[in-house]
Formats: sequence, C-alpha cells, structure tokens
Amino acid sequence: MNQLEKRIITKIEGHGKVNINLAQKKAKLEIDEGERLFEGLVIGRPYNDAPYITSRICGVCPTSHLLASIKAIESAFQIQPDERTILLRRLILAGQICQSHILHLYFLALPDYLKIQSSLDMPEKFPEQFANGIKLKRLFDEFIEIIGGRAVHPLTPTIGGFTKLPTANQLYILRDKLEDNLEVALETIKLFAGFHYPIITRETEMMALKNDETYPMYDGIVWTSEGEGFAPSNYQNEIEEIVKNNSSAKFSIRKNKYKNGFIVGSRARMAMFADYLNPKTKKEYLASSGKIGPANPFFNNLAQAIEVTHFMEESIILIDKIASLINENITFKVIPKAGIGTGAVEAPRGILYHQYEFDSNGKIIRADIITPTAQNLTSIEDDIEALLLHATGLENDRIEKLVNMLIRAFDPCITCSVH
Amino acid sequence: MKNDQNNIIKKKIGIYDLTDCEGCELQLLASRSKIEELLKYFDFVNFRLLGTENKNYLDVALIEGTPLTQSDIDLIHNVRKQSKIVIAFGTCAANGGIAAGIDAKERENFAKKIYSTKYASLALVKSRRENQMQTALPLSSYIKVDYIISGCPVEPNVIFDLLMTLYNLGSIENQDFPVCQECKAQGNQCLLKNNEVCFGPIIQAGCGAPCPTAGHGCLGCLGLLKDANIKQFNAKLKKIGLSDARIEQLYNIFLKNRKI
Repeated sequence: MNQLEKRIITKIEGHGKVNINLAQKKAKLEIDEGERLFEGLVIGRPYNDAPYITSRICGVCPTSHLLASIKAIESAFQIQPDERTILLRRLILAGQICQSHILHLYFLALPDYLKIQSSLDMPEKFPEQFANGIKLKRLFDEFIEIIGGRAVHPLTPTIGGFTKLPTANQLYILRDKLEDNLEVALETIKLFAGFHYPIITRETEMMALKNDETYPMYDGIVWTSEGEGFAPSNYQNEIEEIVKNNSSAKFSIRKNKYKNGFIVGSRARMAMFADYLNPKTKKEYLASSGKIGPANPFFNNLAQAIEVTHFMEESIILIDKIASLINENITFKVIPKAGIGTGAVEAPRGILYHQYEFDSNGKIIRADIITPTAQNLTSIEDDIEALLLHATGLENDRIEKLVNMLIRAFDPCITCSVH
Repeated sequence: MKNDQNNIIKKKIGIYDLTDCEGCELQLLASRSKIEELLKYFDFVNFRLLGTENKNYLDVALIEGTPLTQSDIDLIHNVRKQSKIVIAFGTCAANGGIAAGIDAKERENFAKKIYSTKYASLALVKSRRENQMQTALPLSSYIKVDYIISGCPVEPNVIFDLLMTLYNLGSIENQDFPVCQECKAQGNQCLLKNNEVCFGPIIQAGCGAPCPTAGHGCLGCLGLLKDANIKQFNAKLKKIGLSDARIEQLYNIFLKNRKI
C-alpha cells in the first residue's frame, strides 16, 4: 500500500487529517475544523469588544490573543501603557507560555515517548510523571488566575492597563510557588533531554520577536534566521497566506521570490536567542544541547521544556519588580482614532499577529489575525516529507506513528489556525 | 464496566469537541475538577485531545463546541445513539456560543471575504428540516440534550459536582438564581449601579461570578435566567446610555440564540 489516506491526528488541539503518499513521499495536511470567522465576528463592533471576543479563538492560549488584540488597539489609538502594565503583561504572558507548554509536554507529547496511547494511562503506568504534569499544569493555571482573574479566558488585562491588580501578597505567594516548583520543571528538561528522537534535519527559515534585552516574548521586531528584521506592522508585506482546497486553515509562506515556508515558536526562539536564557535554565540548556539541535523538528519538545524554566525564572524577576508597584488601580480613558493598529506577541507556538482597522468612532471595519500554527503549517508538511525520505524500509504503521509524533512535536493548535 | 480494587463500578464517560476553542475540556485538568478523584469513578473511554477513542456504549457524554460542520453534526447523532446521558458542555454547546454572533447570510459573506469567493466553507451546513443554511446553533437543535453545563469557560468545580451527583443520584435538578447572588457573596461593588454594563441580574448563576470579581461585567455565558425580567433590564441599559443597536450587539456575544 502506497497511500496512508486521511489519517486523523489525535492529541493535538483541534481537528485535522494527514494524507500520505508513500511512493511519491508527499504529505498533505487537511485541516477540517469549522470556521468560526472571528475576523467577521468583530466587524461593526466597538474596539473594546475585540479582546474579549478574539481571545476566545483559543482555550489553550487565550492570554496571548487577549494581549495581541489589546496591543493592536493601543497601537491604532497611540496609547502608551505605563511600566507597571507592561511588566504585568510580560508576567501573565510568561505564565501563558508555561501553561500551554506543560499541557503539550505532559498530556499530548509525553505518551509518544513513554509508548502509551494516552496521558490518561499515566496515573497507572507512570504515576510520578502524571503527578508532576498535573502539579505544574495547576501551578500555571493558578498563575493565570492570580494575574488574570481566571485560568482560561482571563479577564483583567485591558486597553491601557488592568481592570484589577493582584495584591503584593498574592504575587509573593506565586513567587514562592514558582521557586518551589523550579526543580520539578528542571526535571522536565532532563526527562525530555533523555528521549531518543528520530534523526531528521531540514534547514528552514525561522522567525521570532527580537528586543535586544530579553528572550523573545512581548515586543520587538520580527527577526528572521536570514539575519533580517521587519516591523510587526509590516507583516502583510512579508508573509502571504494561501487558501487551499480541503483546508479551513490558510497556510503561510514568505512573500518573496522563494515563497518558502518558515517556522515560529520555541524552536525558532531558542535557535536564535538562547543567549538570553536565564541562568539556571541556560545551564540546563547547555547540558542538554548537542543531543538534538534546532534543525530537527523534534527539538521543539525539548525547547518547550527549556522555555518553561526560563519563563519561571523570568516570572520571579518580574514579580520582584512589580510587587513594589502595586498600589491604586488607575482607570484609563481611551480616545478612539481612525486608523490601523497591529499587535504582535510571542504566543506559546510563536508570533501571533492581530490587526484591526477602525473608523473615527473606534468601530472595527477590518480585522486580520495570523496565528503561529497557520505560519507553521507549510513547514509541517515539508518536514513530514523530509521524514518520509528518511523512513524508507519502515512498516506503514511505524511511518504513520512517526508522522503523528512529528506533527505533535510542532504542538499545532488547529483551533487557532482556523479561527 | 470494570471493577478496581475498591469495587467501585466505573461509569464510562466520553469527551467530544466540535467547533470551538477547547477551553472547556481543558478545565477537566484544573485543580477544582479533581480529575484524580473523577478517574476513580469514571473511565474516560473517549477523549480525543488526550488520545483515547471508543465507539461503544457510554454512560455519559460531554459534548463541547458548536455543531457547525457536517462532521460535527454526524458525530453528535452517533454520540447520542451510544450514550445514556448527553451533557451540553460549555456555552458553545449550550446555546451556540461565540460563533453564533453572526447569522448564516453574514457567515457566507464573511467566508468569501476572509478566504476567497471560490472557497467552500465547512461551516455552512444546510439543515435537513428547513433546507437552508444554518449558523451556529445549540446542540439541542440537533439532538436531545439531558443536561447543560454552560460557561465560557465552564467552571471546574461545576464539572466535578455535576459528574459526581450524576454518579451518585443518576439525575440533577437545576438551580435558578442570578449571577448577582454569587457576585454579592464575593463582596463586589455592583458594576451596574456604577453605570457599567453587567448582565448579572438576568443570567443564571453557577460560575461564582469570576467576571465582575475581576472588574469585568457579566456578558451572560451561562445563559438567561428562567423568568428573567429582560424588559426591565434593557430599560436599565438604555438609562446608562446604551443604544438599542449596542444592546443587541451585547446580547449577540453569547445569547444570539436566546429566542430559540
């Protein structure tokens, strides 16, 4: 049999299938999640509906959508939030990246490497790993709840600031919990560094936000591994979205003469900006690197584990800066302006763009959102094809399993990619 | 059904997701859902996100998301056939949710604009009954639903309480009181009294009022309270300066299908 037809991919966020032609070494992703049409849902609504509605694109990374949306509005209305707001946003974004990575690492990816079908088999077969996964997942849920008011679809981040601030005491409690759990998270790096990954490599262009002070996260220009940068507001001149038959997600390619795919996310961030990792994490990163590098898509799992401790260390640093700034909440008056605003942040899976156009009353007349997974889809197909070239002589079942593992290593969020 | 060491007869449960954000099923891993405890009483025999699949009998099916595509609709008919109890899980399943904010005609136009004029949208399904394009509808428009856990997202403790009540008693009675009651218990200042939009007085409680507690008005993700005085509430919204069009827009975030 030369064809593996329309195999459903499990343990990913959302619905997709993969079609594989073994003879021709061709792969096709078919994304069949229904379109909710968020870019239409917000049309005609006032600006302040956008963050609330568009954050519901994804239950895994709602905080990222919330902040990208808020940043887009602020950029259109030329609002400059104060230092405390930016620090708190960085903090909640750090929590978001960790919350999403832990879900993926322990509950979606780990079963592949422990050779079990589902993470629900873990309590019986791997109780220690299950306990660690649950412990970390709940730590980061609590993290988002303290800063955002709720673990999924947080509430407090708003245009110009926060509707409610955490107390200094809550922040110190969170700080203690992060310190207490850092060891468990460092163990996660060791766990993922210890697995044998399939050896496939394929050089590809990478992108991440560069701000010259910290590891990619909240702001900066879009930096590519070709050594060039562009302003996030210019993304439509740099990235093209292709509408395909049989896919409700668009596929991104570069808008240049090569029309190549590219990657965003943990692997891209770490390949270009590992120098900025926090001290304890960097030590662990150096100890584990060399085994598997960023040219291998499976590196993404290890990179996510490394990012978790980096962002835990980062959160501790941020809390130390913020705790003294917690005092009266300041209400913020928004004055809408006609114009276009773009917001970009590093979501767990890579750069997320929100762009809106407003009329003079602040009513939304156009919206455009490109999610990290939509950007990665072209590369996922290319990497599957690279894997098929390596996988000659293997049983079809084994190939199917490897293809599934590869797709999962990207941690695709299909729900986001369709929106 | 299988027995474990403590001779607890486990019930079979399935988690299904249609078109949605998957935030509700993730709440199953939240601490207040106590999944370790639930695993003692339930076998999660179907949970696509976590990699289990099963097409046999189920005691309980939790269906998350709105049925928007043909495969969503086919799936729920099958799940209904194989399940004793079907629970609409989250606002999308309960009443169509956020995707219901636009009607079928707008849906068609936006799909052309966002994709291309030639693009065949998956989320434009003709209803068999009326032979016309449908927007996002509640699960109950397609199949019989036994219980509803609404919320965007659902509150984790509600999941645990409902499943354990079902396990122990086999049925549940709905409570009917407004979000205001839970909001007051949190010691919050009333946002509506402060002339800020909050749907609390006309919305079914059960969430613990996290939104007003975080300084954000309730927008009604748990659905309308039975016997809610909507006329009086709308008059209040007008009094604080909202136009009829804006009031309708706010209802359309979570309550577009309220008349169905």
